[in-house]
Amino acid sequence: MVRVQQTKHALGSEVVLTLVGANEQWLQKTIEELWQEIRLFEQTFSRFIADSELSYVNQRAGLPVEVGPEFIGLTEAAKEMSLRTDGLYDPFVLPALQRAGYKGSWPAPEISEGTLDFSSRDAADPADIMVTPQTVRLPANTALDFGGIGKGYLLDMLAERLQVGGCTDFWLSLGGDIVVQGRDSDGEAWNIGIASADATGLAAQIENHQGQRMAIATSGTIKRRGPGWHHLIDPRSGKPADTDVLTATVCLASAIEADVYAKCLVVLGSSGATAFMQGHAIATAVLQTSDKHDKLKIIKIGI
Amino acid sequence: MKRYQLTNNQQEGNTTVLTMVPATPAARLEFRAGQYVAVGFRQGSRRSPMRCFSLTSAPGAAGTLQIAFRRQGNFTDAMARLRIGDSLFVAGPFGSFCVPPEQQYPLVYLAAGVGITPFVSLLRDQMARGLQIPTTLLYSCRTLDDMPFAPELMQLAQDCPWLTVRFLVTQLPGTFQPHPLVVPGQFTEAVVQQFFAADADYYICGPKGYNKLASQILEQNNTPPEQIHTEAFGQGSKLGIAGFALQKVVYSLVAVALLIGMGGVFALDTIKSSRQASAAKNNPTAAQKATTPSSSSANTTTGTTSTDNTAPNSTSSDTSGTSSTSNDATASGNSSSTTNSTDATPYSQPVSSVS
Repeated sequence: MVRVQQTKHALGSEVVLTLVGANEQWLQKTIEELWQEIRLFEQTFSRFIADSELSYVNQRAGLPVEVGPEFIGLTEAAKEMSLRTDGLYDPFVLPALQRAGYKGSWPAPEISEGTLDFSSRDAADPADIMVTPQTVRLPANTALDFGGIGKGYLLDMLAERLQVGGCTDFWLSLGGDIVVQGRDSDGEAWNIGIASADATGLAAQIENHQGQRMAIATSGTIKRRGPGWHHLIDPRSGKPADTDVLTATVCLASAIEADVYAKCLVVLGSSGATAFMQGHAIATAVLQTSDKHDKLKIIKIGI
Repeated sequence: MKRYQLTNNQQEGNTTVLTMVPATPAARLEFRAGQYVAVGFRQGSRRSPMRCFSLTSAPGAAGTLQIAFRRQGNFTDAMARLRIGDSLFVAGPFGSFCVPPEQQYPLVYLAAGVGITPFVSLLRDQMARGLQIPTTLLYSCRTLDDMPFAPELMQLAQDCPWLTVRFLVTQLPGTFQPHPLVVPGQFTEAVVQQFFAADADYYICGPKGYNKLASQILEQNNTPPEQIHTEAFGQGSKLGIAGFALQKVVYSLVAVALLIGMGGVFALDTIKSSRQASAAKNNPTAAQKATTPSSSSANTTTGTTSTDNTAPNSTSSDTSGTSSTSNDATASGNSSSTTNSTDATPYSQPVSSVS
């Protein structure tokens, strides 16, 4: 068995694709196809690309806009996840995010050239997004963003594509959101590390004994931040979440759920996290919190 | 050139039907029914040549494009293997094999084999626009298996009183039962005369020989030239072949340029080395500094290198990146070779961190 791995910068972060199989040439070809998917996804859904489909839709808020099937799919998923989290996940946080200071693409958020400014737009109820098989209509004066859900959605899509294409042993990382399946080229189970919030090493490790598909997403306030702000907006206040959780890692079969729920745990803070995890069948998670003395505390659930 | 994404790949006998949507709204291509486009796709790190295909889709269907073709060689075989989600590159539209919006006279469509494709678009467009002009389609094929879109055309014939469809089939099985829409035999003057109309506009699309025969029949029946519209059909279009030839020339020029460049670098390097060697005779310290080997870790930003059995590959994408390959040396799964690479490879195991 051969392991093939490629690393590139995409989606504003480091992307690592690792495939295992018997035919190296086929793996190389498959990886190239995955890069194409990622590039296409970015060109469709990036709010930092002025002619992306997302930017196109946002500029026409209030009007029905013809979009591709992928856009329809992700929009439906965003509506569903908003419903499941009682609005804690909100695809309409973009105006608040830009008002907070996250304007341009990371790691240079202050450089907003080329990015459309929607900071004056309103929030809205995702249930009011009208979706038909070919069109999407946003409520007027709103702006959509898939920042809290896109990577998870894409990971699920890539994993499914690999599975259907016959590749059943892989791990993929989109900026630290991960999906694993199967085993490494030596037959060993994948070991997934969870980075410590103080960057001293690993806070925990999860071994995927069974080899089933597993998604691990980590969200937090330690990375995309600037003076007085970070990128996780609490939809309830419209401001960066005031929370003791530095990072939250969630492990589930679905990457989109792991992605969204990890963010929700950060927004809720450690006091609200337990009830949320129980209500959403999250059996494996890691919360890294800081107390008023900035002391790091690691809480492992199911590990 | 616009980028499209494949949404459907249907195989009907020897014919492949590909349906695609624009990758972004800006990529949407506007066209008229009856026109054709040039299509290419990605082959590894390079783009394939472009080949021309008539569109079978009608304009206005959410920007969707559809093409159909026979699998006849490497290019069409590769196109037929494209998967849903794959990207295609589309240029155009080209051609004027179109029915004017103000058309009032009857239409007679003469199609042979895969030359049916522009007529599928024209008929779908007529349906969509409610253009109920008396229209006759004579579709010539060798066998019953050779008739892409036949079920749809039969249904159209049933649903549209303004449309008459006949399939002219040369080779019918002995067990074939008569069918009102199927005419046994070849495309001949006698058949055409059954559906001839002096004031009709005739649209002809098929292989060269068929087009020539059809035009001759019409001219012999005193059809004015301005009422005869012909589209030559062959999947090895001039555009595609010219594109491929151009690609060969470009690659050759690039190869020559690279060789010249390498030769120049080698020459400069040789000159530099000989100068340094002569300088070293006078100043040993400068020479020592000059010959200190530089660390090479072009693969990874963290500076680690792979100790795999195979040399790391450089990526061929538009953004810089790294790649590595490791082999399991034994069939039994003994991990001795992969253990080393696991220890040294930067991303031997996944690590979840804030994205």
